[in-house]
Amino acid sequence: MKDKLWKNTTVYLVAAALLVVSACVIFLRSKTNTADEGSFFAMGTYVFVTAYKNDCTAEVKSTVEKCESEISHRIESSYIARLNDKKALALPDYLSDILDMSLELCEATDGKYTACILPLTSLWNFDADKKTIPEASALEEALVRMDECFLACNDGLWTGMGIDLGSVGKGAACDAAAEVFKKNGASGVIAVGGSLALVGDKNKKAWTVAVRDPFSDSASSVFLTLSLGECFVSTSGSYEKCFIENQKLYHHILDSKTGMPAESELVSVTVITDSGALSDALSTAFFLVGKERSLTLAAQYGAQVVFVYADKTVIATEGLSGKITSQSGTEITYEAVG
Amino acid sequence: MKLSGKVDIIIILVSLAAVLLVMSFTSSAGETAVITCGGEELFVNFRELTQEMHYTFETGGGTVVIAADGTGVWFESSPCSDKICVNTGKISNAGECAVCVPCGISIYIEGKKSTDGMTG
Repeated sequence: MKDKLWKNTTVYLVAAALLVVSACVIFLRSKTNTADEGSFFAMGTYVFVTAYKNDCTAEVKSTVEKCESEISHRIESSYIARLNDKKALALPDYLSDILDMSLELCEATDGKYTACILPLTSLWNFDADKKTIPEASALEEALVRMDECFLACNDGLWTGMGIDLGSVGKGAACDAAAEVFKKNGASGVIAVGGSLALVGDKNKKAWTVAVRDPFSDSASSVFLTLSLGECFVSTSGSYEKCFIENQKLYHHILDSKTGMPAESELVSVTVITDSGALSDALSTAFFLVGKERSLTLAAQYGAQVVFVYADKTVIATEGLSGKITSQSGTEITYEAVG
Repeated sequence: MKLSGKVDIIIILVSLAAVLLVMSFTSSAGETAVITCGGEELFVNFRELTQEMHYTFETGGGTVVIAADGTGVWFESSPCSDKICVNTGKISNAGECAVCVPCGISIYIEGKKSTDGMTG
């Protein structure tokens, strides 16, 4: 009898202990998984901040707004607008680094990627309510003005003309926001439009990043997911900022030589690297130069890439093997960089 | 009979513990949509709606109408030229968002999300 009683009591205690342990696990998970979320509009896009351990959304907002005020050619007092207005300027280190990077990338792509593209981007104006194909004469004039554009640094002073950092700005904002996170001991994700900063880790786990479906009209439709550690991610796609006229798609990734949207079988290029500005610039550059040249450049810049083609083929660099999940059943082919 | 009753209690306790553990590790569909416009937030517990509701916002870009029913929330109309917001369609999963940048208004579904961000 006593043995039976002891056995039954033991079983009850075990079951109760299991319940208490479960409750503790759930409580602890809820505490560690809690994120502070915030959003705001800046740089012509939607910025979403998810922070663990420390809510620094307000400081991220002021930092991103400061970045925009310094690099947007549309803001008269910005460094870039003043350069375009023929001023010779000493620039903050981060901006000097961005301009150095853009010059290097311009050379590496034989001029296909360039930050000196304002004559073309202002002509096409993909932010306008009504988008139209420029007249041939206007395009010719813009290409002539492109020849006058330049960017140079002498004795620490920058000069330039026709600079538009639209291809790098959101990534640059991600860099600045990531510094805010690190300074405050936070981990999390900052999304400046489609450019992301992944800072730290998610309780020792990888971040899950969705790649937008380039074949869907819906901006929330997912094509692939990526499992990533701390890094920066940017995507350039022909489905963003585009219009259709006479059944032909005109997108915003312009060929600086022809003045027209780049002709490509690609619809989307996603770049993962350790710098926001670089990931943003490379995603545009790789769209312009195509896969083969991109793989060589990816090796030089330490980047990983996902190429999505119009026929829904997906090719990714080998460093992403095991990190990509297709949501559409599309097979992914991996190629080496270099 | 007495022994069987005690065994039942043990089974119930263990099952309850297992269910609670599983629930904590699985994501859930979103419950609340947060509509943010001009710094103001409107919380819509859309899953409790029994009929379609419409919310009208006067924004710097014009009049925006957002609709919601028991299955999700969406931009019904917007004066913007690209209609990216309207084309996003109905959203209902935690972490999803639909945004009209020209009008400065967004819809975000709160809850435990399956992805940490979207690129593209």
